[in-house]
Amino acid sequence: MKRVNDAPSERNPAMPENGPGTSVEIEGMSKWFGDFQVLTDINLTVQEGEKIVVCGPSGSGKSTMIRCINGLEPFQGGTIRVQGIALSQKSKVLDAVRRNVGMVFQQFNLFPHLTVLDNCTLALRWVHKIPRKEADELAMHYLARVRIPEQAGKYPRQLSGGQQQRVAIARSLCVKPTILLCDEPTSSLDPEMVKEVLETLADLANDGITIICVTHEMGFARRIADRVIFMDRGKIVEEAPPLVFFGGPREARTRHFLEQILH
Amino acid sequence: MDLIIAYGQEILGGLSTTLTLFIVSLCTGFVLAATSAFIQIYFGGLLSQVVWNLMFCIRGVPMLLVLYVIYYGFPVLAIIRETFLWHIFSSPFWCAVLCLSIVEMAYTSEIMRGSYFQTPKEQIEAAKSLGLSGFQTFRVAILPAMLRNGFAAYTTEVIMLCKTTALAFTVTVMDVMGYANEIRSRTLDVYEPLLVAGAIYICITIITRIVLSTIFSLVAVSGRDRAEAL
Amino acid sequence: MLEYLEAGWGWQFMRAFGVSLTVAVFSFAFCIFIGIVLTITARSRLWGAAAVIKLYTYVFRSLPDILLLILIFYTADGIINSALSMIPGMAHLTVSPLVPGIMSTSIVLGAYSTELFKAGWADIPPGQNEAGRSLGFSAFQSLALIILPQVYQKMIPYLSSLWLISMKETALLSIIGISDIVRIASIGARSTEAPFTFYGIAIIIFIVFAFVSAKLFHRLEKRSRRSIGEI
Repeated sequence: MKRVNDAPSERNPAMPENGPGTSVEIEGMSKWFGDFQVLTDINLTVQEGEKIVVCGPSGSGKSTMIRCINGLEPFQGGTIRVQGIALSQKSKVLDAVRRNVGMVFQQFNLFPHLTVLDNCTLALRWVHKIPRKEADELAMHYLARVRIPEQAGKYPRQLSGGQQQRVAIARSLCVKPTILLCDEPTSSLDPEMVKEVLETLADLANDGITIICVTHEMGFARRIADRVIFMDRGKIVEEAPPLVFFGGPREARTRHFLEQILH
Repeated sequence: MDLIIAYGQEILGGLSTTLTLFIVSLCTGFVLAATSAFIQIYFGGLLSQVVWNLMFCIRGVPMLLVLYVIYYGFPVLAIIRETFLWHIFSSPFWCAVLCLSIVEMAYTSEIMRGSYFQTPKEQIEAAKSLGLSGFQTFRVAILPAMLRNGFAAYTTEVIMLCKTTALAFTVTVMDVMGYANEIRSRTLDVYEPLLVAGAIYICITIITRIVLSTIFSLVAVSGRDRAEAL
Repeated sequence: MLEYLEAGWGWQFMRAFGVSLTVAVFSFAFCIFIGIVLTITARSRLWGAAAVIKLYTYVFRSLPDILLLILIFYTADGIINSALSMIPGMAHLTVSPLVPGIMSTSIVLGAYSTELFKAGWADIPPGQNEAGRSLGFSAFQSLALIILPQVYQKMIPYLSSLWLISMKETALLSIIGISDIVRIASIGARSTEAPFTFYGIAIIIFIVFAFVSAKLFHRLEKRSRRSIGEI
């Protein structure tokens, strides 16, 4: 089902095979919480600009998997390469990886003590050392992109959930990541606000940024995904383009899940 | 080791004084605090303002200063020296009790006031709408909520009081700290007497915590039982 | 009261206030430092750290402050000098009595402030740090720019009482012979036979200090609440 032919698995570390073209490459990754194995032998290659939707029942390890990609969770077995950098818990590696990877959280995680604009510029000013004026301009550009430039001076608690999530998206875009990870971005939103956030994300999909999104919004998956991945009990059970995935999934577990979620 | 046992026996001679100081001022302080909190809660306006400010001032002054005023200051007044009050103010022990009670009142009344105003209005209204009298409302709705809100702060305050009793030795009360300090100045041993005394204080606070949480669970549970019975 | 203040006692009280304030400022700063460092250590995965810190806060919230002060006062000089004597060429130091005062107050208040910081820290969702880290902040930047400002906002009322306590704790210094406010008042009371005047002055100093501090912290709290759009 993979779109690209598998690269040879013996690699010379000096000459990374995954040159331009491969964004994230997960090989045989496993993770334990104590004695409990949450992820088992995850293999996934994501091309640059590809949009991946990850779905699966709760507790299937999908959030944990994408949290591993930017090092928020350590993993114990296998490798993850992000833009060619092999991930470890060393701070130098993490810094380099996180410069490329933006993340949108289920709970938004905006900084309550800062205005919307400062939320967006904080990383620009302190991590990327961009002067305030330039940072402000860049942030305003992305706030316009998510269509809330007029809220720049407000504080997170003064915004609706949907607006907060759009600010969070703008905040993660400001540092110009090449990969955007979304961890159930609409799960804690009121139903009427889900649409505005999904519209924003769909809009970004045209930009060429790589997106890996954990979500239960199957309509969204159908619209923007290049590939849909179904996980269950810490394993990737099935991966397929949306047409195939929704048209006729191979695995019984996938069919069962889709029946549950699509009624 | 023998030294520690010998010192320990001597210092334990002050244990009853420390415990009496602690318990007597805890009880008087609690009664005074309840009175003061009651005035602040049920009489609004100027009176409550005045009482609150008085409590704030007491809390702002170091306990040592209050103790000195009572012990060194008051005996200067003729009204104290020439009446029965002299019996109280001539005794360093009762001066310490008075001082600790006053300080305890100031802190505890604020804890009571604070935990009263944290009680949700709906609970009080619900109790009243069931036709309960003023005292029943207090017993069923307000007191359990106050206990829940104020228990942790009150425990801290009681432990503080226990620690503060050690200051009584500055006006020649021979409590645990008094004996320890006496041994220190007599023998020039610093560690042994003071560490023994410290261990005694820590034991007292451990027991105090256990007793308080037992009382709390008894009162809180019986409050719930009462509410269910009604 | 005025004639005493003019007769040189006013100057004495001013100096004593300076001494008390100095000790209070240092103790307050150190106890906050202890609180922050120990909270971070207790929250780290360092084995046994949380238990050791719990023991520290338990013991020093139970031990009488005056006991610790006397213990440190009579031993600090020896300990510091025997530590110094291990470094060749170090001269014998006479330790200022203020040092044990600041040390014991900081240790005791550090136990309280650690408990307060631990509680304040626990209120901050872990997602805040995760968001910071995923934006590329280092652990230290995330702490300084994201976590501490939020902890500070929650802690202002508690910081206020810690500050008042550190000022009141300076009264204990009079017991080890430092000329703080209480000692000057005691000396004055004894030498002039006017105890109420002298203790009165000391009490007024502390009460005015408490009112001014309360106002100040109230203002800080209001400002910080306005700055997060709450008011």
